[in-house]
Amino acid sequence: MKFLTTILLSLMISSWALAVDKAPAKEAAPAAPAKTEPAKDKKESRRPTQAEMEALKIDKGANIEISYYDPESDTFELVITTEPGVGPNIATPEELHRATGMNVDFATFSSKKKDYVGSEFQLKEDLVLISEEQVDQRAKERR
Amino acid sequence: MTRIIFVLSAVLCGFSQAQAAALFGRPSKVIDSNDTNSSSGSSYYGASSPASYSFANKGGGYCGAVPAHVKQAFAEAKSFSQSCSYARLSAGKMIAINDYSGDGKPTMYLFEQDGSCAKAVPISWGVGSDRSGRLEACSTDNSKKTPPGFHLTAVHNGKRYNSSNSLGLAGLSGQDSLGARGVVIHGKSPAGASNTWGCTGVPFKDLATIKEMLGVGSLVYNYFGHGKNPNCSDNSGAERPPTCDPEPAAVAAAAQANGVSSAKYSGNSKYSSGATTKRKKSSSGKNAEGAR
Repeated sequence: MKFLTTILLSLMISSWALAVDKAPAKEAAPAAPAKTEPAKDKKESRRPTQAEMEALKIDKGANIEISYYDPESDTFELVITTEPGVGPNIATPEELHRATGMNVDFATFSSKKKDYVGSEFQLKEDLVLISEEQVDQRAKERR
Repeated sequence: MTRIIFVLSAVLCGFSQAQAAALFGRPSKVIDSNDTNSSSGSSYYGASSPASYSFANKGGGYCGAVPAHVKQAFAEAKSFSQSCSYARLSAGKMIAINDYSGDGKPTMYLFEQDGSCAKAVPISWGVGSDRSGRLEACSTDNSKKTPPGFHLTAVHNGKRYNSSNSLGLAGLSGQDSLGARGVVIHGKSPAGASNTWGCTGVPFKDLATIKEMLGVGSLVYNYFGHGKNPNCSDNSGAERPPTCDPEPAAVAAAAQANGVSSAKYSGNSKYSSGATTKRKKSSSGKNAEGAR
């Protein structure tokens, strides 16, 4: 009995609700985008960019240690010596060579990458990191 | 729309909300947790009782059913905030329970001080701990593990993460999480996996909100369950009962956000005066001040 009453009530309310849903929609639509866009811009300008959020960069001046070389993806894993809990930090050989301002040319560095594991550097420039997805991608491409 | 009308009608006709939902379905939860059954489970390490808190979900909080062990962890955090002056919370500050107990998916629950749950998100943890059962609590400088125990949110300006993209986690129980390791809350993709070096990773889309909700001076409990790891020489904050032994960054955050003044580290902390003072360690590796 309770269930039947529920169904009946539902049918009555739904016919009313459908009528309400359909009726007034037309006039409100055009004004909306003009109002919301400036608000959105304002909000976004206060928030950090996606690149900042992902923090794929170590600031210049940081002391880093090369902790591992991965031949599969040809990338280096780095530790920020003052912040060993921050990571993973992964960089390409080119970027590492550039940001550390190594006193050897890239060809020399590149010929003995594994030997640099354990080396410490102070960054001369900001060091751009790559994401774990990019590491996987590099490994796939090199196979 | 039709579903809402049916449920509304059912309620009008005297069905309970649960009956109505069972008859006509209800919206799915945002957090997919397998913890829902444990909310009524018994506490397996009864210390203080969570019974005095409501644990009601705030509107739009997506907390789902808060598991019993998380409620217990909240009660512990609340109790710690009353016993440790550096963990004392001013109005509006929150308590976050990072549930790494292995009982369900690792999740951050954000609570108001009265126990109402405002938000829950999946979280990442340090790669030093395999995800097999309970995460190993032992955590030291180069362990790449997430440090257990109580932390206070603090400003962090590191070489990779800073105040615009992270929130520091300063240890309150002998862990030098922020000063020595740079452990923070930051965005991570995917969240909910073992893919950091000790930091708590949250979904990028939630980072700004979490930062805003917690701010500086909220209490964060990295909760790993109650077992003590026998292989850990320095369990860094996993002691029971927890010690009140804040690192300098926590002292600074407590003073800045919650008005807690202290002679401890005053004038010596890099967070308060610019001078750097490394905390003394005993020969056993334990913090001299923390070994009680």
